[in-house]
Amino acid sequence: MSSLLESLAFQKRDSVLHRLDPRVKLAYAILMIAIAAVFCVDPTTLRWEWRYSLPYIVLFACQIPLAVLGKVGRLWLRTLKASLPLALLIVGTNLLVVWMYGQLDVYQLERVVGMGFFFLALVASFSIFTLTTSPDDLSLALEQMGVPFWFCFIFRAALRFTPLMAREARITIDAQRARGLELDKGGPIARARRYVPILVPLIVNAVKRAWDMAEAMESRAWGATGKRMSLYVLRLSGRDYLALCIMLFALIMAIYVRMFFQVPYLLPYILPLLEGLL
Amino acid sequence: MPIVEVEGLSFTYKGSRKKALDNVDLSIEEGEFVILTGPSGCGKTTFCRCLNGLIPHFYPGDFEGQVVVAGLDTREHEIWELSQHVGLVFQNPENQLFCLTVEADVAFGPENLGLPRHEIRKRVNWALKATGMWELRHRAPHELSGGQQQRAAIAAVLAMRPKVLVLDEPTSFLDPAGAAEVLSIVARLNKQHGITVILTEHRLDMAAALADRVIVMDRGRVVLNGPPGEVLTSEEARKVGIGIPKVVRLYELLAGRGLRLPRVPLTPREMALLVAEVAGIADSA
Amino acid sequence: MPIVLEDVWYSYPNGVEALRGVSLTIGDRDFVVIMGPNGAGKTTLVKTFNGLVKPTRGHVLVDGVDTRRATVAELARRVGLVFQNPDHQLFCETVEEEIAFALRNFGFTEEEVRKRVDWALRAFGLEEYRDTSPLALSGGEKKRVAIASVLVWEPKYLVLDEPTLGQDYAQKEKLRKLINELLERASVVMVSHDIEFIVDFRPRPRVVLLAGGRVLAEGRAEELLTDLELLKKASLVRPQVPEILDCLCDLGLKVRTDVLDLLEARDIILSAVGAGR
Repeated sequence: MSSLLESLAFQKRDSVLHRLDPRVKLAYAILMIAIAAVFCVDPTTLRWEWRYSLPYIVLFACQIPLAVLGKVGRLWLRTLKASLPLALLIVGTNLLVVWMYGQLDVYQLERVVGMGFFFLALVASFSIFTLTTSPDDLSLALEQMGVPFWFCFIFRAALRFTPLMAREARITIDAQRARGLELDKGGPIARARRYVPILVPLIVNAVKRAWDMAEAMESRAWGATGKRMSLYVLRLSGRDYLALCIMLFALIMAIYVRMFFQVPYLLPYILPLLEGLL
Repeated sequence: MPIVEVEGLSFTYKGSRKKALDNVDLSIEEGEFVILTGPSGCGKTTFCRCLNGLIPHFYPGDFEGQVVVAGLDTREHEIWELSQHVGLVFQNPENQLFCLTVEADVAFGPENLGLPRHEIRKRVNWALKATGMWELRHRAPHELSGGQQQRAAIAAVLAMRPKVLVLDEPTSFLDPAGAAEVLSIVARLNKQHGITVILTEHRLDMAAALADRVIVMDRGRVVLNGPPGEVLTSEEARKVGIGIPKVVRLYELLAGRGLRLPRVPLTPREMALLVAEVAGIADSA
Repeated sequence: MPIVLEDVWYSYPNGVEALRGVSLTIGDRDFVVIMGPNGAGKTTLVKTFNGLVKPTRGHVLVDGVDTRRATVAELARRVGLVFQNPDHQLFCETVEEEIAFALRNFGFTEEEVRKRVDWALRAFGLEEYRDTSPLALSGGEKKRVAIASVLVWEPKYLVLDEPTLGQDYAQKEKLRKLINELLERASVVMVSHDIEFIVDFRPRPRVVLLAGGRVLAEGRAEELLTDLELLKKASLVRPQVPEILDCLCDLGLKVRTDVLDLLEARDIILSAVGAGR
C-alpha cells in the first residue's frame, strides 16, 4: 500500500512532460474521460453504455509512450501493478453479475474487458499526472484558475506538514512503547483504545502547530490586502499550445471514428482464433 | 527618537489572574542589539508579542500602557501594518515554514502585501542572500537542518524589510552548531545592515558578546538593564537565576583573589587577552 | 548486570547505515553521556537499549537478555527512556493518570500504583498539579512530568534524550540535582550536546563521542572534552574553561589545558600570572 502511495508522489525529473503547464496536464486528464465518453455514449439515446474494448485498449496503450516521455516508466509500472487487483475485481464482479443473470456471452465479456482497460487507462493517466506535476505547480495552477487563495494555501500546507506529522506519529509510538504500551495485543476494540495515547499527542500537536502557523502568518502580513500578488506565474508556452492542439486533434479523431466507422468487436474475433489454436 | 518605546506596559492574558507583564518601561535605539533574558515565565515571550502587535490584536486580554514601534502605536495599527516595521521570529523553526520551498516562504510576506512582482523578487533575493540561504532557496523545509530552517524563517521575516528584528528564543531547539549559525547571521544583520535586534536567549555564553545591552526580566518586571559586563556581574542577576557564562564567573573568581581585569570579558579569547595584558606579556597586542 | 552492546550495526529500511560497529557497556550506577553531531546516531543508539531498534548485526544484551528475544515492554521494565519532546508523549487528563500510565501497562496492582504515584508526585514537586492536565503545564513542568512518568517504575537504567533542550538555568540545576540523586540507585545515560551543563557535574560522567554511527572516543570528560581535535570531529564546541586556558597558551602564557573546573582554572591563572610578574 505504501509503495502505491510512493509511486504516486511527484518525481523531480527533466522531461518534456515535466515542463508542460500543469493546466495542460489537467486538461489531459479530462481528455481521457472525454474520449471514453465518445465511445460509451450512444449518439441516439445519449445513454452511457459500455460496449467495446478496442478503444480503451488503444487509450491505455497511448499512455505507455507518455510514461516513457515523462521518464517515470518504472514507477508508473509499479502503480499499474498495484492497481491490477482492483481492475480484476471490477472485471470479475461485473462478470459474476452478468453470469448470474444468465446473459454471459462473448459481447458481455468484451464489454467488461473494455471496462477494465478503461479503469487502467484512467489510473495510468492519473499516475502520469501526479508523477510529473509538482504539488507547488498544481496549487499555483489552481490559484490562477480562480480557486480562492486560502484553499490553495491549505492544500500546500497539508502537503508540507503531512510527512512531518507522520514522523511525529512514529516518535510518539516509540515513546509510548517505551512506557510499556503494547499495541498489538487484544481484540479489535481493545486495540483501538490502545491507540488513544498515540492519537491524543498527535492531535494536540496538530492544533498547536496550527496556532503557531497562525501567529507566523499574521506576523507576515496575512490578510493585508484582498489583492494578493504571487511571485510565481504560470505562462503557457509554445510547447503547451502544441500539446493542447494534439489533444484537441485526438478528441476530434475519436469523434470522427465513432461517427463514421464501425468500431470492431475484438473478442468475437480473437476467441475463435484462440480456440482454434488450442 | 528611540525606535522602540515602551511605557508602563502591563498585560494579563484573558482568563488568567496573574499579570504576565507588570509595568514595563523600556526604550531601544535604532541599531542596538539587545538581549532579553530571564527565567521561564518571566514574560519575555509575552513582551516579544507586544512588539509586533500580536498582543493586543491576536491575544485578547488586559492591556495597559503604550508600545510605540517606529512611531506607530501598536494598539492603533493592525498586525499586518506593524509587520512591515517589526519582524518576529519564533522558537520553533518548523512551524514558521509552511510552503514547499524556502523561496516560496520568503516570498509569502511580500506576496500578502500585494507588492508588484519585481519588488517581491528584489526583496526575496536580498533576504535570501543576507541570511546565506541563496543556494538553498529551492530546497524543501524538511531537507534543511535546524539552523538552516531558522535562517529561512529569518529570511522570510526580513523580506518584509523591517527595521526591527525580534527573535523569541530562536536557538532553543537547535544544536550548538545551528545556534552559532543563527546568532552569527543575526549579528551580521545588526552590524552590516543596521537592523535593530531584540533577542530572547538563554545561551548567554554564545550571545552576550554580541549585545550592546542585556535586559533581565523576572515575573513580568524588568529587573536589570545595562551593558552585558555590568548586568552579568551584578548580585541581582545571580539571585534571579540566569545562566551566567563561565567566562564571567571566572572573572569574578579572579577578582575575588585580587586579580582584577580591566573589563568584564564576554568570550574566552577576550579573557585570555585581558589576563595576558595584566600579566605583562609583550605579545598580548 | 550491565547493558552490553557488542559490535552493533543498524541500517534503516531505506539502506542508510545509522550504527556501524558500536561496542559499549553501561554498568551498574554508571553515569554516561553520549555526545556527537546531529545525525551521528545517538538517538538510534539509545533506542537499542530498550529494543525499539533491533540491531541488524551484532547484539545488545540487557541484564543478560538479548534484545532480539524480548519485547519492548519487557525491556522497558529495566530501561526507562525519556524522549526529547514531552509533547510527543503526554496525553492523559491529569498528571496523576499520566504518571500511572506506565505502571498500569506493566501490570502493577492498583495499590502499588497509588503508592508509587504519590511518591513520584512528591519527589518531583508535582503535588499541586495532581489533578491538572499535563498539557496545560509549562515546558519545564512538562519535562518533569515526563521524567516522573518514567522513573515511577524505578528502571535500573534511565536514559534521557536531550533533557536540557529549551530549559532555563534554574530548571537545569533542578535536573542536575535530580540526576545526582538518581545515581545513588540507578544508572543514568544522557544524550546531550549541552557541554557546559555536562562539565558541571560532580563526579563527571563518562563521555562517549559518536560520529557517523561510530564511537569516536570513550573516556573521562577531562580528557575528551578538552581535546580540540576530537571535539571538532564530533562537531562540538570546546567548553569555555579549557578554551580560555588554550588561548592563554597561544598568547605565551604556558598553562595546563586539560582542566574543566572553574576553581582549578582560577588557581592556574593566578599562579601563571604571579610567576609572570
